[in-house]
Amino acid sequence: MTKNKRNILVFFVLLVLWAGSFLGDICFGSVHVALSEWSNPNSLYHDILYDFRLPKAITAVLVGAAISVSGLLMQTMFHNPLAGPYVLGISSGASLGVALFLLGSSVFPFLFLNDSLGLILSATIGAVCVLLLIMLFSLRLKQAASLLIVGIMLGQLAGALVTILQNHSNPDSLKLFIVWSFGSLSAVSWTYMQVLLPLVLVGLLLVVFLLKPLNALLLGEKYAKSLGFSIRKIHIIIIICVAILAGGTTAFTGPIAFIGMAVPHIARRLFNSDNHLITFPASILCGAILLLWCDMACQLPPNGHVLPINAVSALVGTPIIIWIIIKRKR
Amino acid sequence: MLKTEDLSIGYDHCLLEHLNVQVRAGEFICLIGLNGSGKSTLLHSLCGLQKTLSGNIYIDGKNIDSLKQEAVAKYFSLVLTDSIQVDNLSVFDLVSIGRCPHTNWLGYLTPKDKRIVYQAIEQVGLASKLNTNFNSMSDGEKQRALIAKVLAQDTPIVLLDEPTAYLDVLNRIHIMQLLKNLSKQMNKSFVISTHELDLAMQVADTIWLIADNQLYVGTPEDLLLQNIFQQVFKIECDYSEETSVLFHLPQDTPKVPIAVYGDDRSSRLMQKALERKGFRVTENASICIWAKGKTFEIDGKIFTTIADVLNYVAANYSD
Repeated sequence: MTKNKRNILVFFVLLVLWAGSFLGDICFGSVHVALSEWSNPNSLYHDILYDFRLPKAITAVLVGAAISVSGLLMQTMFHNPLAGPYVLGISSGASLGVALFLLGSSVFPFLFLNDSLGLILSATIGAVCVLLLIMLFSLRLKQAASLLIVGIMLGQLAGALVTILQNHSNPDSLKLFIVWSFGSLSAVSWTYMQVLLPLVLVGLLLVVFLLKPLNALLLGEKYAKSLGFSIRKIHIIIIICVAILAGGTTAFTGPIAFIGMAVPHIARRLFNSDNHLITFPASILCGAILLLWCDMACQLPPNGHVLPINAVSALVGTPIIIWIIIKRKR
Repeated sequence: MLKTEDLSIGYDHCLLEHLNVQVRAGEFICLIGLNGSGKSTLLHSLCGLQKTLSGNIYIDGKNIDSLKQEAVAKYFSLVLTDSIQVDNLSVFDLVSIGRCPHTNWLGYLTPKDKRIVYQAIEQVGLASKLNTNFNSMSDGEKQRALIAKVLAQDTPIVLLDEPTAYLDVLNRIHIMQLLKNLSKQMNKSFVISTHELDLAMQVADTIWLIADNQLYVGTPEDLLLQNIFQQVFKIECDYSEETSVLFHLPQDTPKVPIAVYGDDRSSRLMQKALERKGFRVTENASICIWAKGKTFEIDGKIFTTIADVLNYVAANYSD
């Protein structure tokens, strides 16, 4: 029972950290803004807080939670601690989708659709395609390590196609794509938020229905089947969830490296548990906190320069992953 | 309880065909066969984990193909040879997962579920390891935890694929004894694949022996009496004084006295079977069995297998 008490305490600490980081992310930026400016609707600072920093902080929370949970799902599904949306090429698939959408218009003019929904759809479709390919290979490749290599290769393949597209596209759309691929949380305005928020919430809600079969999957697919679950059905729902959570959010913010893979491990370590009833909410909180921190780190350079979030998340994520690999002496 | 009808199993090619076997409630069955003979395939096929090639499997009179996976999970629970690769899973969490077929959509454990989980862990002797990490335990303890998972699933039939593999001698005996006791206490049917012939001969109500793409079914003593082991393994195989001493598993206190007379070997096998079933074999008793070659006479009735005699005695003389 002491274990339960400890878990509650850790959750409480995480919640406090989360709230603190959220406020911190709003206060902290290239321009110093006091929170008291909030109440003054006529000030320029009010606009910065309300139209820029608040949606950015909410985006960090939503996207951090979404990619972390998708990493958790993939790690359980593939029985591989190194699985994650970025490593398995899901983000690359989304990139390819977006590249086709943004750059492909010069190659295939008839595809041209200048519309945010098109961007989101193309990223999601790209992510799903890569996921389905990986699933297909997973039927043949029983060894998780080889599957991981296939995922990395698919990512490289998508990257190569993106390079070809870049080579043939006009400079304007090229810049648009490059900026997207740096990753940015501030690209989400209140209008986009109306899509992102429900998207993430629906994705997370779907995962809630998966928690029980996910726990059974921990024991392996045969055991899960013997416990009364249809493996095929569960895999399909997991793919849909990952597509929504990883593919959908990548569309808005660009690829964000390694957070999705690192956060589930942090969650497991904090609670010493693989039980998804614990790791799911823990991943949501840890993912949100970590991405808020990454976003704050982006604002560190002086004189209004801002670092791309994709680079910062990789700087934060990779040491964590190396630490995980060293810790697992198996 | 479970019945197969002209069942054929295998992967690309057929391993075993025309299987007509049954599992009775509370029956303890040991499945013996060489590596690659189809033991695992048979276990996987029985519970619907693997597609059968032809034939039917009936559970409680219902065809297993017509049942949903959730319904099947309430009839069969399994311990497989697959290793479980999870870093942070406590014994309690592992055993709770066994409750899956009984819990709600979220997998919430009611107080009743929790009681069953605790009880299962206690029954396998891991009460002190409730919060221990599964992967940090010894092979013997892991096997016990998996058995507790099966108990938590609370199904009438339990299938175990080589639960004693990779274990040391002492653990093998303890696990077998644990399984036998559980089957008796809870009146569950166990089908256990194993390479421990000597242990299996002592505990099994029925032996399923796979050899040369055939399945031989019978009580251990019947198989000896009919010289099946000699036939299929091409080796001499019989009870000797030594083996019965070396791995002697304690049995329940014998109750009803029975006398066995007649041919040396068949009466010895008969005696062995009676002792395993919990009868006391003495010189003078009101119940007498006469063994002659491969036939047995009791109360003026003639039987040709030891299994039939056991059924008759159990029906008429158990207390």
